[in-house]
Amino acid sequence: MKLRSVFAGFLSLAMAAVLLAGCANQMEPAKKAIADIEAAVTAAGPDAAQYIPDQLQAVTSQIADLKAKFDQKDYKGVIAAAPALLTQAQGLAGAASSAKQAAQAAAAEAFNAEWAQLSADIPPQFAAVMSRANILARSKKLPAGIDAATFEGVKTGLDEARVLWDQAAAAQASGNVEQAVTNARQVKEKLNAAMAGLGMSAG
Amino acid sequence: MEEKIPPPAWGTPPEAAPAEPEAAPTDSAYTQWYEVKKGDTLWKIAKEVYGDGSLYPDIFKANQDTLSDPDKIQVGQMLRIP
Repeated sequence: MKLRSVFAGFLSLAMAAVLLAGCANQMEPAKKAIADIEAAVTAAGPDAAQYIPDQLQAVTSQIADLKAKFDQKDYKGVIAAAPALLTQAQGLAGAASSAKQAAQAAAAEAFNAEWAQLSADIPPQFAAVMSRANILARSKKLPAGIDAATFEGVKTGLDEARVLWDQAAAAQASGNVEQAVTNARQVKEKLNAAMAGLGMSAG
Repeated sequence: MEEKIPPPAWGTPPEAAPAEPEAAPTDSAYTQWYEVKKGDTLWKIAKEVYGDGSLYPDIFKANQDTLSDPDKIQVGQMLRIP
């Protein structure tokens, strides 16, 4: 009787040891599976966060679920779910790159369109303001509503606008349309201010 | 290539009027217009918009496609004010 009891106890211990060994065997693969998935997410880089935040969030959320399973020692569950999530994580880099290219193409198109509009609009506005400023510079007395300080400010603004416009044209010629648009917007602001200062009506 | 903006020539007098009439100026959305009222003269308009009536030739020159004589302007006529 006693011998049977000892044997049963030994058997239980042996079975527990086998189970523990089984778990330990699965822990490392589960740990590695999670690390591989996290590495794939890291490889996607900041572009994933910027251009495909929803897809990235979906993957990181599932990684959190896997880690919770791991903490609960459900290594089998981790290993079962990992391959699909790894595929998803590995797809992030490509998806981010595609989304980035699409966003950059859209931005370039928008800059080109804005440049086309500004480069058509600014020269006639410049000509109109310069013409008026040149005539006023020959006037013996400035008209009502324009004092000397305002007129000096207008001339300074036009000098600055001309430099900026040259920079915009140079940037556009070198293919940097974004810089060209940035400069041209500043030119436009200065021309609008000059027109207001000279009492001219906007186009 | 974008249109080059000429450097400022503050106060530079206009070039002498050419012997032949100039082609009609190109108007744009920024061309400034003035509607002639009863009693207006180019001198009076120049005095109002430039502060100096003696600058009226600038207005005359800008409107040579419709004005042949600076003393003959019509009420309601639209004049370019450069």
